[in-house]
Amino acid sequence: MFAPNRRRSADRLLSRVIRATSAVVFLVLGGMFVQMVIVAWPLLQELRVAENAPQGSLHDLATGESGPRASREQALGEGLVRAGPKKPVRQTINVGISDLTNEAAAGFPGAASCAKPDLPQLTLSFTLPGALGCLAAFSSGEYRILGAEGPAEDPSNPVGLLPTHHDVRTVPGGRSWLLIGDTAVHWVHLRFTSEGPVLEELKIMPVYAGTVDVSQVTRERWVLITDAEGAVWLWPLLTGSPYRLDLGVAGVTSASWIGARNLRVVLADGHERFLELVGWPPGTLVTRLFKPVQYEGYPHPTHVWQPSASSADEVAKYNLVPLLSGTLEAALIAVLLSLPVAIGSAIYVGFFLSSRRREQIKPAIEVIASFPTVVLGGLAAVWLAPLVVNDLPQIVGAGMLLPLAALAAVAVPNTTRGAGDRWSRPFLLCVVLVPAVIACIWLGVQLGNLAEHAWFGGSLSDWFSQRNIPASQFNAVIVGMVLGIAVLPVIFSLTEDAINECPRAAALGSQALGASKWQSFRDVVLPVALPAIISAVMLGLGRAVGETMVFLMLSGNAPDLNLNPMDAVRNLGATLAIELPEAAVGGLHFRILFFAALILFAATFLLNTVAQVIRQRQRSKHTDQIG
Amino acid sequence: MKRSRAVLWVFAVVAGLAGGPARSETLSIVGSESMAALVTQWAEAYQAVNPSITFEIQGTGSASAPPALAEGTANIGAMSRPMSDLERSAFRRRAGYEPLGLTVAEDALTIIVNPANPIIAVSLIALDAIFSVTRRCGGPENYSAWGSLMASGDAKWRVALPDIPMLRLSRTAVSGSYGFFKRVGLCDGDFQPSVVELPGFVPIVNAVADSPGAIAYVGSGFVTPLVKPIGILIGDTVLYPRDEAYPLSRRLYLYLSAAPGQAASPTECGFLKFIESAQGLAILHEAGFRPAPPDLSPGITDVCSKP
Repeated sequence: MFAPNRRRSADRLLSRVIRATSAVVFLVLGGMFVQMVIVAWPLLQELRVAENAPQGSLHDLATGESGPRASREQALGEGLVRAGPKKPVRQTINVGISDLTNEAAAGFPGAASCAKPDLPQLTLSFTLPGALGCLAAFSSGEYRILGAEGPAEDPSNPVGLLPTHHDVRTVPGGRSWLLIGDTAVHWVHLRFTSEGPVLEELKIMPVYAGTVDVSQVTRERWVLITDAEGAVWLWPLLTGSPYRLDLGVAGVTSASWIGARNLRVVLADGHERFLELVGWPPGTLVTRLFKPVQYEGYPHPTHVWQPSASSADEVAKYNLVPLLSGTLEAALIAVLLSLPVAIGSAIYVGFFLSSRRREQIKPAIEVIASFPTVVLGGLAAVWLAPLVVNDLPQIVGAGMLLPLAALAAVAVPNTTRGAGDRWSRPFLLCVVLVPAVIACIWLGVQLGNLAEHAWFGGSLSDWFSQRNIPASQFNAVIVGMVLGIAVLPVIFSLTEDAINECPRAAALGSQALGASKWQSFRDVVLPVALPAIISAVMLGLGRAVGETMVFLMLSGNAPDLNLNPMDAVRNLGATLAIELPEAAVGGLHFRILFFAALILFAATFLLNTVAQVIRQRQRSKHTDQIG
Repeated sequence: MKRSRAVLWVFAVVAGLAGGPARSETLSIVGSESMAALVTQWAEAYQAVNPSITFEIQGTGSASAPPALAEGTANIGAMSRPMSDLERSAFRRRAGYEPLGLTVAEDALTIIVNPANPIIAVSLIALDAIFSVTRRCGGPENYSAWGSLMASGDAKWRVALPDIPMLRLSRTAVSGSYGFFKRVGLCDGDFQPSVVELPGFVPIVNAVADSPGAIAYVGSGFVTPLVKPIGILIGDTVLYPRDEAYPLSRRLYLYLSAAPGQAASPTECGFLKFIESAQGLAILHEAGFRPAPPDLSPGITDVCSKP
């Protein structure tokens, strides 16, 4: 036994160590949060125009000498940071400018080249695949398909009509164009439909003062339009409406790009100024990340997550909505599946079980939390996933009937062990329950078979495929099942703690007054424990949202935005695991991934904090009551 | 006191043992999963000859190679597609010179389906229409079920195709095969959002073997008897990966970080010369790849013979 003095100093030392450790943990978490915010912060910059004098000629800009680090250079090219007020801009010209001229669009390599007949008013020509010929558009607005040798169609029967225009700019990638009219600029794209190739108008920008000059289109799909009033408009084709640039100069006659974010502006008096755009026009980032965006080649605006384009001319598509919805969908399924089991067992273990048995059973259930979800995921991928896709009604039937096996326990008398008893109660329970469980599973499978024959005509997977509902072994249900096993101990542990900590005095008092055990639980303990149960569910949801490996293996990683639980989903954590190794440090993809990570961090942090606050308030309320 | 002294001794012994054998040279090869098996076999054979060299091989995907090379965490980058302009310029700005790319093998992407699927070949336009949402190769509509493929004339089948929904499988975006298929197979278009992405070719092969309506592209070395490879229909002829005119043929590259005018490091050169030797070529043939055309430059000898 320690002498009293030694124990006091040991206690003080221990409390200091605990305080220091928690302070360090807090600092580390805060540091992580701050670092993520720092990485994601440039995404929120609003568009600014800055002066910049390029050094050397356009040719020097094109060669791109070695300069600052790749991350800073890429960040410069993507408008994330400014080059600096006095430092000259060193940018390679191939990051931004479309090389394509107005007439010779890319077409299909290998296809017969589009014979360019000397047609008047021809503004746009595109070589179609195979022997289809050439799509030609004219300034009068009509477009038609010409054969390789000349007009194949009847000249008086055009394939379609576009707005009239006098000039055309090709968007990088060669599949969409800007048609420049006198008072409007139209963005059209080529799409192959069952009626053949069509040119569809995607967006229109009215220029009331009249268009004077339209620049080339950068890879970011930004274009500068100078109108007759001398104002310069920036039109981010994908993500926003035209934005009038506040250049600080008046009377601009032309504005052109000399880099991804650098422009050269010619004034009416002949002077030229070099400017730089940093950041994004207001609302473009929110649109890009959260709203449906119309991309070239798509029939209508969609939420698309596909950040790896195969060529630099194609747009990287960042939209977080499919990721967030996939994460939440599977997490909610997990919580829903584990909720009845976790809360039911927590009520029994916390209130109805004797303390001796409780001390034996509670740790056993909590050990499930230490089971690595990777192993669970691997097992499920090999064994459970084909079962789910082929035998779903049988599994649901077995799962629903399994709790009925507990009814078999009534066959075992609830007597205490007296002299002469040969079998202990736990042994008798096992003898009775094991066949009961097997019988219930078998019964459930038969019930599932019956349901399948009665409602789905013999086979659920055939029923799905007849209605063209995708149902593969990669779906949110199997992810929810595996995550449910991971989430169960979290919900169980906290619910059981809450129920056990409720004041025994009130429950015993109600039982003394004649209430049954269940009545005293339902009317005395449950109302008090309910906030804690809600907090436990929130913590379980937080655990499920942050899971990565199970999703990577089982979910199919398809960023598809639909609420069908039998369809593949994509999770934020799995996306980070897949894409962070390939994102260039400091580039846009990198920062958007960190922004997504920040959302995940903030969501789980918020869930956990609110859950803990609820628990603390409930605890303090009770200690006050008991006194 | 006795216990803490014993603990100290245990620590000392363990720390001494952790010093390990004499330091050896390490070659770190990062990049393509398609080439991971090939590179591992080369490495094992080379280690049998040169036991003093240890290899660290990571095959997560081709897109992880350029950043690793640029930062210096890898000696050799294995890629199943050429480095893109953006990756090249990022490397150039970081290192000050261009990365050095060597063509080491020729490979092809095979289209596989479930063995129960009676299809024999699909055309490139049909392949694009199956996998992409933008259909840039010119297909008139997307196919969501196998039965609708029969009306198009862009496929060849043995008996009537069952009307079951298609399950499309692909590698994740970090893979060079993903980038190559997007460029050549989808004509730079986009994958459909419902395309299932799996992190390796082996899970893809397993999934195709399990699902009746599945279709996927894999490296030729990963095709097993559990799945059925199909050909590409061009006109009336069906081309398979062994044919020369097969459209999904690709080259496999090894990239190095070597300043111009300087040779690569002796360790790297030793390994590269081994790859070029008869033993290395035999391993290449065994793995199912074809050797690179000999007239491509720079060759391995160019890189390693500089003073």
